[in-house]
Amino acid sequence: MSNRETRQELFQTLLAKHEGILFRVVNTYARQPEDQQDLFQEMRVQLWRAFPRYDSQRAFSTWAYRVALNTAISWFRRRNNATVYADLDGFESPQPPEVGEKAHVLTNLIDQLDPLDRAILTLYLDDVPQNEIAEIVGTTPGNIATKISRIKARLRAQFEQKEN
Amino acid sequence: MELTELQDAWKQQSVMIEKTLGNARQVTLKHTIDGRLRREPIVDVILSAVTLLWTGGFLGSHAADLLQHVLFALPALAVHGLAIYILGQAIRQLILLSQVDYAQPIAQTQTLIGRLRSMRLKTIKSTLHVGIVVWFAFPILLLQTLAGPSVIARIDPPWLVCNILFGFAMMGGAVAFARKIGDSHPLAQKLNDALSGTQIKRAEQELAQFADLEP
Repeated sequence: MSNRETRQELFQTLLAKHEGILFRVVNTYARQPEDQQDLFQEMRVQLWRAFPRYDSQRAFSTWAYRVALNTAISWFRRRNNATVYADLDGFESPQPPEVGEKAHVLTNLIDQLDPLDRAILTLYLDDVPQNEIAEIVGTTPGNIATKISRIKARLRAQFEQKEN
Repeated sequence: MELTELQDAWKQQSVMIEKTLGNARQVTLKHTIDGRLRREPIVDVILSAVTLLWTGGFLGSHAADLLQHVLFALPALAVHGLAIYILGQAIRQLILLSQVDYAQPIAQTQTLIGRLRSMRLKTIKSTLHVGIVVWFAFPILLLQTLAGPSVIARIDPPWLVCNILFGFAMMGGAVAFARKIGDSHPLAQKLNDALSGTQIKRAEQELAQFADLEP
């Protein structure tokens, strides 16, 4: 078996084990099925491209989160800028499908957040420890704690507004 | 309601997406994000290199004439200068792009991408501004290439001054026009953004977000 084939096999095994990360990141940044497919494929391509530099001594999940979130943020920003123009051309975003109350609250909360806060929320909801979130984002655990408390405050405000 | 109460909904949504994307493992992407980012500076490199060959060839082959009459060289020098600026900016963007690594921490990678975007927008803005003012240099240089450098001597100086002033007026007019029709058309919005630097401000705001995270 050639070196490339061994690498490819290792990549596929690791990816299959951690593919849920990709689905959860897609869930945060893309709403429409074609966008979700586009972003999912983009993340797989970027993961494969970055794989030769992956250090097997470190956790694959941390590495995969970094690549997936960096790809998603870049994709989202590019897409968002293009959508500003598309909206003016008569494009309208489809209404969200019927969802349960909590799912609806979650979707609303995500939609209010900037791309970086979305990344932190994804990691928080995935139960990633704060020091690992800090490592993925490239900041201190203290900064992450502040960001998370701001997101929580936003959720509370959103909930109170709804109740009023 | 607390964030932890949303975790079940979060997991359910992710399972739904997994079902939707089950068949998307076969990659059918035509262009990746970095491929798209690279495309614009590469086009700039090609166009400015061709322009430099043209202006460089013109200046080189008429060096003796042009040294005697510096005025004859001005259109070529203006276009040459603009092409060098665009080429330099495009190379800087490509160097910055080569440093983008999605496996690095988010703050680091996104700061690099933000700087790249800001640089790209500033290049577009300044090229547009300078281009409107030196627009008359292109047809004069073309005429000089076809009929010789001295053809400029036959151009009426008031005509030249009027054209320079027209360039400035055009720039002011374009900005005013873009602002007036503002967001009514996607093209107008793009022009407005490029001339006024709205997107540069947005890109810099995004950059500031990541600067806050520096440990």
